[in-house]
Amino acid sequence: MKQPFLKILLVGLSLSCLCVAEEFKIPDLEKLAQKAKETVDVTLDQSMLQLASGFLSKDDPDEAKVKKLVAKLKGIYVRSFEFAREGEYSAADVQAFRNQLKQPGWSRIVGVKSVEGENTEVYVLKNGDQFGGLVVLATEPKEFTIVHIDGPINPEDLAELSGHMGIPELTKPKSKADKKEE
Amino acid sequence: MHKAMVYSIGWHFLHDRHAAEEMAQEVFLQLHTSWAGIQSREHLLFWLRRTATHRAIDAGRKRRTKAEITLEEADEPTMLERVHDTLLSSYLNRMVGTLPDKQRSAIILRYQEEMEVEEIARTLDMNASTVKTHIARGLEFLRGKVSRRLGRSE
Amino acid sequence: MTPFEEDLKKALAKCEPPDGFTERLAERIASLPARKASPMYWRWAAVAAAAAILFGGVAREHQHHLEGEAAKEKLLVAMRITSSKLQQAQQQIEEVERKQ
Repeated sequence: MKQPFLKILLVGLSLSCLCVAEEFKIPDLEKLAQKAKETVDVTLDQSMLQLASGFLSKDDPDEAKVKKLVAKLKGIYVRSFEFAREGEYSAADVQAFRNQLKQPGWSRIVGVKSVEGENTEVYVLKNGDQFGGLVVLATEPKEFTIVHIDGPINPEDLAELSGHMGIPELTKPKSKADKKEE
Repeated sequence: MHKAMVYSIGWHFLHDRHAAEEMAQEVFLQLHTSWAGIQSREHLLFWLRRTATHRAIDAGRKRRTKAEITLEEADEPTMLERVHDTLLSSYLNRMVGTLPDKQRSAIILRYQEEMEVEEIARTLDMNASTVKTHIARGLEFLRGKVSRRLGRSE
Repeated sequence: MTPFEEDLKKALAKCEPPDGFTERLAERIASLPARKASPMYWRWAAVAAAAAILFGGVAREHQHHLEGEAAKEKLLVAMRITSSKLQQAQQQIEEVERKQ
């Protein structure tokens, strides 16, 4: 496997789940929006996704990738808040989302914390062998982002968007084995 | 349609939908009373562009109750604005709104209306070389902003 | 035109005024002091009426186009945010692995 992220992803998914999947919903976050200095709020249900997809160009490589990615999705929801100061959102605000993601069918496949306080969690919903959804929960001292993709989304396809769409590509650092060989 | 042209001059200049509509309405009201003086379709187009641009400049000056943001003082975008602004069009649109009045007018007439320099000069009551200077300076500023923000070069 | 100028032209594409613009304008014109109707005035009224009928259909199609483009832009923003957060996680994982 080319990337460690994907190794972790597949290990996390080795247990198949036969439980009935529960719906995940982003609640009204107006109280956070009022405190934020900048807010991104994207709500695209299935009909809006189809409308948007119709305007994506097959000739543009980035847009063609996105068109393929969203073809069977039911919705994409993004709420992202940037605050002027630390402490504008609470651990309870974040925990409310985690509690929803404890429902049957949801598995956390990535949970990373940094000393700078940047935390990222990725959850996937499995319906048997099929992906049914994805949630990304990213928190920093002055930022809170939640992404919910409802429908059959393969996180590997999302990771392939790296290097496109104005997002710089990560260069893979040399492993200890690579360094020893030199 | 002329209403889209007039409204768009207002919107790209003022970046305020209410103010842009108000300006556009004022232009058409003025046209209503000045209709007898319109001699041809070409004259109508010239008249609308000229009136819309001058009214947009006036409206912009009246609305400036807070300190004018100069090129040097323009806020650096937040992280989320950077995500937004990878949509080049919306970023450029926003940056056009921070140009000084005359550069802004020249850029809007050149690239929204696709007017030639001589036409712009007649519309803005300037000579052609002044229009060229305003366009060149406006483009230089916008290119600089884009290359710094998005790491792009022409 | 250079590619940058083409981008700028795209950024400054014309947009339609909000719904109801023509109606609000008509109300304001109607409320102006009554004046002797000149032949040019009737011509303007006829042109305006014809334009409203003729361009009504075109305006609806244009509205659909605007809505579609707006939805597309939102979708691309959502994809960029998601991809960048996943990249951030990958970067953090690689940082952890480097330290081990």
